[in-house]
Amino acid sequence: MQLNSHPASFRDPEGQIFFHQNKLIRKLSGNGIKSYKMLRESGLYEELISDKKLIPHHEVEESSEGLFLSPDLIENISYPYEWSFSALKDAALLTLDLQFNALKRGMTLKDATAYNVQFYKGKPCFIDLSSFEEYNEGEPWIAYKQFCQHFLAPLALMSKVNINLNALAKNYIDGIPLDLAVSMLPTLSRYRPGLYMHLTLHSKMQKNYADLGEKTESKKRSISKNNLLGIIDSLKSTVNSLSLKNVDTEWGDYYNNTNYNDESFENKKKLVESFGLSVEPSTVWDLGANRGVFTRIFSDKGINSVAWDIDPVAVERNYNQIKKENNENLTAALIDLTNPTPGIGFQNTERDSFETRAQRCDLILSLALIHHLAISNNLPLDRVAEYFSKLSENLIIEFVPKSDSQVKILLSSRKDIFPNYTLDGFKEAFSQYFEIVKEENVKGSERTLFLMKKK
Amino acid sequence: MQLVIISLLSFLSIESAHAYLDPGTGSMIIQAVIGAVAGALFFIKTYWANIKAFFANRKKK
Repeated sequence: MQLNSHPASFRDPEGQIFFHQNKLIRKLSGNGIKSYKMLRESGLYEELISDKKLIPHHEVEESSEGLFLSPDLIENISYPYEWSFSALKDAALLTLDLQFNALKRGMTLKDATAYNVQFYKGKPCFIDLSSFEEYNEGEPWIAYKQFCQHFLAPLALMSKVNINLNALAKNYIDGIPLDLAVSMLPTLSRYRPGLYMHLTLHSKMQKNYADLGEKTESKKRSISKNNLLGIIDSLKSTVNSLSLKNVDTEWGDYYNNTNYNDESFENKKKLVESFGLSVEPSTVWDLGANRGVFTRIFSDKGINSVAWDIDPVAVERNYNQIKKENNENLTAALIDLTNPTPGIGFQNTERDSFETRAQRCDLILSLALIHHLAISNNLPLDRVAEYFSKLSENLIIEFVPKSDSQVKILLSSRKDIFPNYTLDGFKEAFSQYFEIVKEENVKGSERTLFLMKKK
Repeated sequence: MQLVIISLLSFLSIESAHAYLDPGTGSMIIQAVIGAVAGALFFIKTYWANIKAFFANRKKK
């Protein structure tokens, strides 16, 4: 079959991913096939599938070239630097869980990168089938350092220093270097038992042995299965003990502080719903979604939706609510629209940019957002329109005029250099890229809601 | 020189033939250290759970 290789799949030659028509194909060869067969024969595969911890794979073909499998597709791809604290924590616990269960069945994970996890139907799910390989007692966990860099370090930093620090993952493709993480932790945190062992001491050991050949004594490097399970258990307790300090961010209390009376709020909801459903979307992206109140208009109807927001506390609250509701149609993720996630990794194609992933969405919501982009961030209206037109076919956008109390606040501490920020100016800017399908005033407010279609 | 070669060889013997990840020597060594402590704690934890279960079963009789 004609296979096009995936740009992110090159590190493990025995388990590579390819595109074929609209499917993803994993090609196993050599030891990759042995490991897969062991995964199935040990019963580990069945256990993980029934617990919904691993994405189901289907056997497509077995030939002299290799064994070809096709995994179910993840609808919304997101990356650790876009996840909330609790989402990253759940992904970490999943990884440890998998390693623990694997060891019980004679297998082990040969890598523990955060990119092995995606959110599927609201829950973290492992996608890298090729990570599982045979465990030989005595071997230490080869992925231990990677786990600490991808999961433990960012979680510790978000918990003990600042909630925004998972953004470092954008810069460090293989997780946050341990010495960097430790240098940022408050002294007291560095010496708490769990973090001390797995970050502080770990980082020191790494530095000591960085130059091969310097220490020539052969150190004991084998470790019993019980001790390995002990390490995993210790990592689990350490991760579990990390939590977010109660943080007050600008947007955390948004819905308590805005100028919506209940009536106008309900009117807006009704309009958004009728506009949105009229285009029959299959995937909705809500930009500046905060806790996902309006996103849920669509996800509650079974439509796949992603709630993007700049505020990590809002994303965190949304994610926790998704968990509570067992919501299978909603994903919460972090984005700064004035500096959206770029493509990163080798050739900048290993992890897709925000814009690339937007190809999957056919409706974008931009509610109570435009004034932040145009006024707080000085983005020209026509450039915003151009950008939105690249992201999606259909757009529901709310124009918030200067007479609105929220905009008055924005303009109170700066000069008004926005002569074109009027209803007419807005319509003119957006008409360059979109056709205005519907336009209605949100009763009870001064705002206007639009449904637009890309020209 | 010979010591360097021997230490390099001992490093090779511990790596799996099919591992593509470079784990770092320090990370392997620290596991032996941490494992001793963590392993003991873990053993007691599971042992304690078994003891509790054993007595719970005895009470039922």
